[in-house]
Amino acid sequence: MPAAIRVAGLHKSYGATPAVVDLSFAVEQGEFLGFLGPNGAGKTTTIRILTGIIRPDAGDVTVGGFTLDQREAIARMIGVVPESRGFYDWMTASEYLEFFARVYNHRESGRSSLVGSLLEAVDLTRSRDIRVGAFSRGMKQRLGLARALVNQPQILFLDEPTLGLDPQGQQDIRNLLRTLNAGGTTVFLSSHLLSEVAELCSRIAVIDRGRLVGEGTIDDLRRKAGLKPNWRVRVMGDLRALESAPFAGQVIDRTGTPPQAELLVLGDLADANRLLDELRARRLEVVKLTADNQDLEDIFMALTRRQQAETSPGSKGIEGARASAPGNRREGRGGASE
Amino acid sequence: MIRLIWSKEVRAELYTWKSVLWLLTASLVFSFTSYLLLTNKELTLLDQTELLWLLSQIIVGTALLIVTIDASSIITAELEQHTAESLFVAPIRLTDMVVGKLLAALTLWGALFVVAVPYMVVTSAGTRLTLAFLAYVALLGTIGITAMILLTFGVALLFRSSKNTLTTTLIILLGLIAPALFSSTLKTSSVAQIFSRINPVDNIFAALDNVLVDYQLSLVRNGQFLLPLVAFLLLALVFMVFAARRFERKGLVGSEG
Repeated sequence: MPAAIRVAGLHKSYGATPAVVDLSFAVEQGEFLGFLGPNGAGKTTTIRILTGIIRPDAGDVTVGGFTLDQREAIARMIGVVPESRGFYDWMTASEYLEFFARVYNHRESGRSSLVGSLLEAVDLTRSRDIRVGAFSRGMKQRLGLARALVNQPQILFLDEPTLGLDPQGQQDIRNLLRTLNAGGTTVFLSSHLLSEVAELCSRIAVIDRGRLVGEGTIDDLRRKAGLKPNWRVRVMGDLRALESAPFAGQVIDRTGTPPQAELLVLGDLADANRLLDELRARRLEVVKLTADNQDLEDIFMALTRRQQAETSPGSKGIEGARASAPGNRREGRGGASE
Repeated sequence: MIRLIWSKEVRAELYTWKSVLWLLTASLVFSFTSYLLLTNKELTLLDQTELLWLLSQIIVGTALLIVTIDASSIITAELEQHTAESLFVAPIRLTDMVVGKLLAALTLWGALFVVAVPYMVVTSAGTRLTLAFLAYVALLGTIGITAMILLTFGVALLFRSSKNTLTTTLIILLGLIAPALFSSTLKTSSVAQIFSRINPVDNIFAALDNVLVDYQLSLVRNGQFLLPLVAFLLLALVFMVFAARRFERKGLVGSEG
């Protein structure tokens, strides 16, 4: 089965400023890829190249098996929620979707039901006859997503799709994206909301200054960043036993009746098990052990800071950057108190 | 696809009342001119055919101005209001978009012409020139206005800004219309005569003069004026194609990353 998106040696500059540098990655069919990067990293440029909006300076790109020269063929199989979202404010929501349904040559007989189902999917049915100009930002966001789905795309490109939505709206859109992906749609999601990416994506690509700095699952990225997973251990019992323990500095919370303490452990499973043994030896009862997967921000910061350290003049190199990575700072905090 | 873009543009013009205001303005200009031509003591001393020629100049000049202003924002609005990206990720070719918008701008010219018809019929009553008057204003106006629209679209695709496009095309239009309004005594030098021969607006006015004042109704007898006009149309088309190719090469939306 050919990859849904294949990018090899992609380059794009704006004048003397490189936007994308030797970017290579692939997205398999049915995959949900998160595309992360700081502002100006080249995310939007990459999406614009992949969707045929701008031409690359060099590199091989195929989308759905088509090269970028076959723009129309690509356009028929992709749906895009672009970064810049303009709407024909004078159209109503249903007129707007109907216009794009006609662009994709949907037959008149099925057009109305298609528009109805799309409006329902993004919860805009009640606003179907309201001019888009009167829509809130969140409503426009939903309408943009509905437009991207008009042609039932095989590949969906989303540039910050939940920007401006309230928490409920964000969750609705995420559920819709999950359903689409479960139905076989390949999703390419660029977002600044790391929790959103961690929640939705099966794989993540991190780009910084136009270069790919990491790619894989969260565990893959964590390893690449040189970070260790976080474990949260909740214990109860005579908490005075913690005070003399070498891991006293890892206590991050004390609450509850009877009193409980929460410890944060950075390390692999063996490190967590070692701590559990020591806790039990101090007659403390382990109530809960959880892997803390909300550390994508640390991984992201470590990967992008390392890239900055590698590319900036007079850099301290990878080790210097690692030392300043937030995850390792936290590790250092723990170590200092030991 | 062209029809779809055309209908979208026409609906946008109607929804925003822009076209309606332009038509109202044109109607006021034509009414005022016709009233003056028919009632002003000095002007009524002119031969009726001279009056028709003056009115035809007003109609074509006004239409050129209005359609150029309208066309200057018809493409750039998609870029400035960020609707272009949504269009170009759909299977819409730039050619379809440009032709659809060209037809929309020509529809405004069509509407302006329809508004002008009663004035042309009334002022030409009794001259047996009514049909020729209508036909030549339609023909020459369509060629000249199509050329100006293509030129405007080319500038818009190069500049990607309505303000710059409007300023540039208005300067070009002024540079073409103003010398055409000079009397022939101001066009005695060879440079002025050469410019007058190639100036499309000059040729439109000269052809109308030939038809309405000198009764030279056949197309062949007006070929000397039509040929430079058609050449200008072809030049504008070539310029627009060049600008469109450059636009596609540089990317369909802005260069910010």
